[in-house]
Amino acid sequence: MDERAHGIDRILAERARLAKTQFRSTLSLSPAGNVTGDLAGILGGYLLDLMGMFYERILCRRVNVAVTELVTNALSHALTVEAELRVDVCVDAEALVVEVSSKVDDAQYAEVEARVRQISDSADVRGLLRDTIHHRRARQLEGGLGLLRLASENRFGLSLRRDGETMTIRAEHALEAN
Amino acid sequence: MKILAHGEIMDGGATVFQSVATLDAGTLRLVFEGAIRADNPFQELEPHLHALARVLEAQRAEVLRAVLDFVSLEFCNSSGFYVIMELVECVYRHVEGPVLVRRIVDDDWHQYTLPILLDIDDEKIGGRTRFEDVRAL
Repeated sequence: MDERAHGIDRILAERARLAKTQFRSTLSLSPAGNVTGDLAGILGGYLLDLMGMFYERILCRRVNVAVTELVTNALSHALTVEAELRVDVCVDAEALVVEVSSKVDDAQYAEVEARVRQISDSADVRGLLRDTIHHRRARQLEGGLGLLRLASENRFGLSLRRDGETMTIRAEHALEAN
Repeated sequence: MKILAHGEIMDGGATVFQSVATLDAGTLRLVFEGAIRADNPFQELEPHLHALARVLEAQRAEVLRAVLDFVSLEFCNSSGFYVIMELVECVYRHVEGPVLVRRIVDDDWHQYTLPILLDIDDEKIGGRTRFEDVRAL
């Protein structure tokens, strides 16, 4: 084997070693109403750069998209500016998981629950995204694409849980075994 | 090469996204560069969209083919989907020839959502569109 092939093998081995890094990051902000800038974009961009130290770019981009869309949703639907916003990102050998928690009322929870159920029940998520984009664009409706995008574009599994007034949206992307 | 139209999104005094349309030897090239993170990007890019439509209408006979280059588009939030659709629709409306779409091979948005925004399932669009997948720099 020549020197170049040895070099490539070393790089691949190093990348495989780095990709096994276990990563966990938690951000807790309270009150969420004190956020005055583009928190979703700043946090997504920060994680994209930080996680690029360990993982393939495509995985880091998925984190960026999930954090950006989920935090944007949480801040736009937060029940009260006094509430806590919590963002958890975890990567291990099995999965990439992003969870975002915020305070909501019954109506807001029901709205998000219906959207998650619609996505989970769909046999054609790409078609659902396509039709939803066209439907909402024709009616000039804002928002409503973030969760669907995560499921269709990034193949995240979405789930929802509730603890009192705190709603947590979980986006999970199973990683292929090396 | 002639610059036909230019639009940008600024944040904190810096350009975070720009769209530049150029014409060179019958090829219209519309390049998307940076990141769309704004809540209402349409508001900032609407003048660019109108300028692009005007100049393409005026130069319709000179434009034989188009390249839509997304390789330098790093991120697009879901609020940015509609303005991308408006810009690419404007190109398809004014250019009758083939359209080459340059995109990143290992980016989910480029591979899965961009074709939806192009309306690639429409035969009139899909039939004259070709993708070139490139590795991100």
